[in-house]
Amino acid sequence: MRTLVQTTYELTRAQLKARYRNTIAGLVWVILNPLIMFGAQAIAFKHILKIDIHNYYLYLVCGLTPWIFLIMTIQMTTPVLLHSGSLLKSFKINPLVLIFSQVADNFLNFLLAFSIMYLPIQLMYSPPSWSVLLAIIPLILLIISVCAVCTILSLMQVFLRDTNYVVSFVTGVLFFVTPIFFSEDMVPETYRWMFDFHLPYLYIKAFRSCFYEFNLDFFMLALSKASLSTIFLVSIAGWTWKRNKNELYLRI
Amino acid sequence: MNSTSGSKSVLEVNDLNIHFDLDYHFIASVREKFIQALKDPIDFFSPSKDKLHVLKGIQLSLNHGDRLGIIGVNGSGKTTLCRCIAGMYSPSKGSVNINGEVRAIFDTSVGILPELTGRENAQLLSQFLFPTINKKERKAIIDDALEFSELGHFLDTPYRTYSKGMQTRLSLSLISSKPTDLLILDEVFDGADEFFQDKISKRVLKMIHQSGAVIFVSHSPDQILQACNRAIFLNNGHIEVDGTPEEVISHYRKTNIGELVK
Repeated sequence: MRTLVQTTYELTRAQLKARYRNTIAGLVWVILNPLIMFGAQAIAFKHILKIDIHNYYLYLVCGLTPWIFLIMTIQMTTPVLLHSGSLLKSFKINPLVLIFSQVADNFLNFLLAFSIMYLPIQLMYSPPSWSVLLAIIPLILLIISVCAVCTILSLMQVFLRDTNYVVSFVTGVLFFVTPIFFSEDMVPETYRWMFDFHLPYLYIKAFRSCFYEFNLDFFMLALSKASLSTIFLVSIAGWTWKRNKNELYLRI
Repeated sequence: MNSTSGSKSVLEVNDLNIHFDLDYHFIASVREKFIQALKDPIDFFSPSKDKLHVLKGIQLSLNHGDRLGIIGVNGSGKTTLCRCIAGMYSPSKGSVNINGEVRAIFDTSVGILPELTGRENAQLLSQFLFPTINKKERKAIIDDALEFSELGHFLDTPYRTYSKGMQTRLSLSLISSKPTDLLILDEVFDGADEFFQDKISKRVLKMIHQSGAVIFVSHSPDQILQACNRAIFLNNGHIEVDGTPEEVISHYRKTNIGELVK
């Protein structure tokens, strides 16, 4: 376990170094990408479609940035095992290191982008409340679950080479049925139960509740659902990994 | 024949079997799978009963001081056996017990992050190869390997610009810088240029002699004779002969000449 953490740390550090050396705009891009997405959606939904949500910019930034982290990480990590075939076959390397370092790399970018975008928006409305400190709990659950999902999908990509296209399609569709730019209240009550099974949304909901109109009961409920989802995803990932580990080396 | 040295046990392999599901109509696409599931659901949901047995009942033990050469034709299971001992594969049946640290190298021309320089890749590779050593020891190993590689100013250019020979120089220099309890080298000399081959061979042989036990895979009988004090001939997933390198190579040659004549 210690070796796994240490090696993941070293590889993440090296990846960040490689990325920021290749392009001077690397650091700017990390912030620019969610900033442009945020700007476009804020204009489209607040000013053109006139969505009526209190403190809309805060609501949007707290949902959109974790969503971008989630989707970008999944899309970037899905082909990672397949692309690292020769490396995995050459040395005794735990393949999970490649997945986890990619997740960690994106997570650091997300934290940076979120901090830069959140603070000025929050200060537009009011000073941050103590509840922001609680965000660390849903963030830990989020990172564990993203690691689990990325393990499943990157293994799938080895066996089914068009998995990344299916993932892009599904995440594209999911965005429109996830309460990121709209709120749950806007959805007819008959359909709201579906959000309890919308796994990415469970994490976004728990995370957002720390920054936006904090309510302890609501937060605890959202956190419980996210925890259950994490246990489920980790179990599936563990089972998939154990079952396909040997075949992985045959197919890459 | 089992261990030749009779000292501390390093490796115990008992009834090792590795098999994979044999999929005659392997479909590597979600779209095709979807179409197949709709077209022929019975066939789609009934798993293949056939298995590809890559290793069959391998029984092997190595003691401190054993330098085992593995010889066999392509597809005989040499790399699978080494990967299983290295912990990359889980046995389908049987067990692999190792007493100490294992280091396994299967290809020497691979960079971890080709965008980084050779020096930075060496740093990263050392992390994968020697995860437990401290910072000071790591620095000493890297400095020694970089000097040995004779890559000079190329060390500070991106790894992706390296030729295969340069990549092999860098990897082999690093790999051969520290002995271990069980060292697995699978055809590691392929790719090194002829001027470096002699120099690196001496260094690798020195490390082989300093390591606890060694498994050395090669298609070259001469390399096995030079590096090993014991050998096995792997044929069709099982150990056909286990003995001295001379005996095993002689059997390997006879078998292959026999196959060619047939």
